[in-house]
Parts: sequence; C-alpha cells; structure tokens
Amino acid sequence: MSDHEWSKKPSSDEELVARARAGDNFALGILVNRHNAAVYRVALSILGDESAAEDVAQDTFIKGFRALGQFRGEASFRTWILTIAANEARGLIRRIGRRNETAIDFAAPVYSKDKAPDEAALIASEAARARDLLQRLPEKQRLAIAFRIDEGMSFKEVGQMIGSSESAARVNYFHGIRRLRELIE
Amino acid sequence: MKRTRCESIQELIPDYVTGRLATKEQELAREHFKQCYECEQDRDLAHLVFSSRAVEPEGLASKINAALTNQRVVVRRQWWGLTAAAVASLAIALNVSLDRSELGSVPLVEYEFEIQSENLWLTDDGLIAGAPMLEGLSDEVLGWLLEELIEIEDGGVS
Repeated sequence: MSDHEWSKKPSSDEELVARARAGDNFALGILVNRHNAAVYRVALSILGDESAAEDVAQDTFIKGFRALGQFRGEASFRTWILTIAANEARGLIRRIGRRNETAIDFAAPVYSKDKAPDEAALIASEAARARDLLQRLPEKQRLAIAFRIDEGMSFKEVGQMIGSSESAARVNYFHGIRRLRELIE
Repeated sequence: MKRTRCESIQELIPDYVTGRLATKEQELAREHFKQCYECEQDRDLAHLVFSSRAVEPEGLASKINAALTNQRVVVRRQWWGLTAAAVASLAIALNVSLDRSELGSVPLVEYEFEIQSENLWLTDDGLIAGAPMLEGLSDEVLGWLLEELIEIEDGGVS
C-alpha cells in the first residue's frame, strides 16, 4: 500500500506498530507525533523539570522503538510507551538526585470564545493556581490526578504507572482531589 | 458494595471534562451536576487541572524524529533479524565466503563485525550490520541455519 493510500484514513496504533515492525519508518514518525506530548507530560509530572522531561521524551522513543519487537500488545501502545517514559524519568531521578521542585511554566489555558475576556483571565489564573497546588501533593496522589485527568488513563493504567493496584490508584486519586480542594479553598 | 450515584459520577468526571464520555453518559452527568454541589465542585476542579496541563515544547516531535534518524533506530525484526544475524555469525565462524556476483553486490566481508549497536538492520546494499545474535537459539535452529549456509555454499541461492 502506498503512503497516499495509507493516508486516506487514520491508522490505529496497532496498525502503525505492525508497519514499524515491517520496517516502515514513516509509521514510527506518526507514533511520535501522536504520543510525544503525553510522553513529555508524564516525564514532566515525575521530574518537575522541563528540560529534563524533553530529554527523557527523546530517550523514551529511542529505547521504546528499539524494544518494539518485545511489545506484545497486552497493554495499548500508548500505555506501553508512557510506562517506559515513567521508568526513564524515575531512572533519571535515581541517577541525579531528587525531583526538581522549581516552578514549571504551564501553558495558559484555552477557553471557548463565549467567555468574556475578564472571566477567561480569571479562570486562567485559577487554573494556574490549581496546577501549582497540585505540585504540593504527595507524589502518588499528584501522579494519579495527572495521569487520570491529563492523559485520560483508567485507574488500572494509573496503577501500572505508579506501581500500585487499581484500587490503590483510585484511592490516591480521590484523596488527592479532596486535598487539592482543601488547598484551593 | 453498591456505589452511590455520586461515586459513580465522580469516577466519570475526568472523562466528562475532557470530552471522552459517550453522549448518554455525558447527559446523565450533566443532570447530576445540576442537583449535586459536591460533584459540581469536583467537576470544576478537574476542569481547572485539565485546562492547565502542560503542552510539549515546540518542535519536540521533530527533535525526536531527528534523534531517531541520527541514531539509526530501526525496529528489530525478531525472527528475520535473528536469522540474518545468525547466518552472518555462522558464516564468520566457518569462514564461509559467499559468491554474490550474481546478486551484483559486494562480497560479504570475512573479518569480524565491529559491534557498534545492540540493534540489527540491513543496509541498503544488503550487508548485515549490527551485533550478531546467536545467544538463545536452540540447537535445532542452529542446525537449520548451518544447513542453510551449506546449501548456499553448494548450490547458491535458488
């Protein structure tokens, strides 16, 4: 199938992985485009350092694609590559020391056009504050919230990422949300 | 234990604020928020968190793709790669030289491969590069590869 024919419809990750295994570098590029943002955010959630998260994102894809032959499809490709990112980030912390606690510049939130400028600015300010307060939670609570909300992972996937059971991931998430509400109020 | 309505809705809130819920569930959640202040507050908080999530640095995907190219990252083709590497290694071990003139390409070198990477790939001219891997192959597979090599030496590639 030519690239032209292939581009007619979006391919699933599974199809792209199969093509990559058959030597199609174009498929690798699509997987990078599709998942680089989530990989970066997972690394950033763990490391708290933008530059280090960028490096980890790069290393994640290099190591992940080299090991793609070992990917058995038991989890989704997305979960698999994000797990590699989390492991890479934790490995970096082990090598260089503790998590960077410096402030992170998060993107300004984007709101629908039906919000008045003042209201949008207020919400943006509240959102930035919520994100800042999120950084103060214990790691597992913070990561459970970030992975569940930012990346839309199930609690089972969150558990895999933070090294806990599904039920422990759920507890961490809800305790984190309660704590975050208290901090905000 | 039976879940309360609030517990069920709170499980769905992250998917609600990110638009991942099916229309019917979305409608049920919306109706619930009208009647439940606690869940509405959790929804607003989840919305704040999601709307302030980090965005990747500009050009990150290009940078990663460039790194993949520079490092010659190629997906390992498990059985095929293993076979190619094993054949190459056996050829070296047995000092077998292949007459590749019919294939119109360069003869296979008979000295040791320089191992620069843990990966395997075929170069454009068909020569095998990377680290040969025989480790882990069963005696049966090794025997099969040896037979294949002998066939090639005796009769060439059919």
